[in-house]
Amino acid sequence: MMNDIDIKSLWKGQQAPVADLSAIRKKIKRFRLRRIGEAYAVIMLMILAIVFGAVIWICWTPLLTVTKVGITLLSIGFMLPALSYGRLLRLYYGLKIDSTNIDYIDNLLRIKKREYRQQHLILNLYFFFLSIGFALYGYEYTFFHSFYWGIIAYSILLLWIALNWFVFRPRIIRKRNHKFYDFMRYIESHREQLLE
Amino acid sequence: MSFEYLYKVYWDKVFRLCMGYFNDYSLAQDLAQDVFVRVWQYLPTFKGESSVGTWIFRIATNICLRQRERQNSISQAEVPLNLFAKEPSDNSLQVKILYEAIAELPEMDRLVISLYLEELKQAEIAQITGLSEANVRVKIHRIKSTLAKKIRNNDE
Repeated sequence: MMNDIDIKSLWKGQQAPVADLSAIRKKIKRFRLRRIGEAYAVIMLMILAIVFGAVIWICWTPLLTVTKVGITLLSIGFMLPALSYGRLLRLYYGLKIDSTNIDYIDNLLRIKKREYRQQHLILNLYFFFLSIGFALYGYEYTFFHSFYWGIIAYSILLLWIALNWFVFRPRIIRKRNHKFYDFMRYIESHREQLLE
Repeated sequence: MSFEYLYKVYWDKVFRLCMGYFNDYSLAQDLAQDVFVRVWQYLPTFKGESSVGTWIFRIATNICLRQRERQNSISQAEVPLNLFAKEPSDNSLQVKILYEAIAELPEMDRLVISLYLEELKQAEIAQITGLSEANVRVKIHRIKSTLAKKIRNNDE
């Protein structure tokens, strides 16, 4: 029968790859760049959303207040995913990787639940702001056209909003739910294994 | 304590731990590198509340736990650095059998037994996992008998 010492010596018989400090240095460099890239991505997305609103405002000089409100709502809508991403990044950066396994799993679970709730809220707000924003923004331009063209333009807009709300949004939610519940099952099984 | 020193001393141990968890040579190498990236990142804030070994193994075990979630979200463009790393062919059959047997255990048991096989004391394993020492003792006893059974069955 295999005894304790045999198992330990077999365990150490596993050949490890040669320690290569240069490979680690390369990875550290990539890691640093990724962190910086993530932070810049958030800032850039926010700036883009503001620039988008400003460019439309300046170039097309809206006359009605509803158009201005529409542009503002659209800019806010475009900014929301970046804001949400920035918040999540902060949460994940705060996750202590050198805590005990039980604490780590608990904290990860807490963050995941928060991420899930936040993404759900942001997704709804994003589609809401975009739908209302486009509806208000389009009013001024259809106002100066014939009633017939106004009906066509708003029918297309309503179709687009309906497609977003009843096709794309539920599809994204389903995908996220599936991923989230899969993760929950995985974490719960680990927790059970630890505590059994 | 320099990063280079820790890397030299703990590289093999961390690699074996990752290997014990995934039984995948290239993935274990990639993850072991990830562990040392994190060690490098957090070393300036290490306060010495536990031994440095315990601290490194905490990072290593947590990175192993997180891997599956990372696998789900990893983009296709982000191919692991060591995807095509070659496993040495001079590992004995018994070593392979042992690692295969460990890979068949429940995930948390893999970590506990890997830490035990790395000669960590039960108190240290308790500090890493967050379990009580008594629980660690019971787990190790149970896992060892499961492993012995698996290896014996393989020998027959």
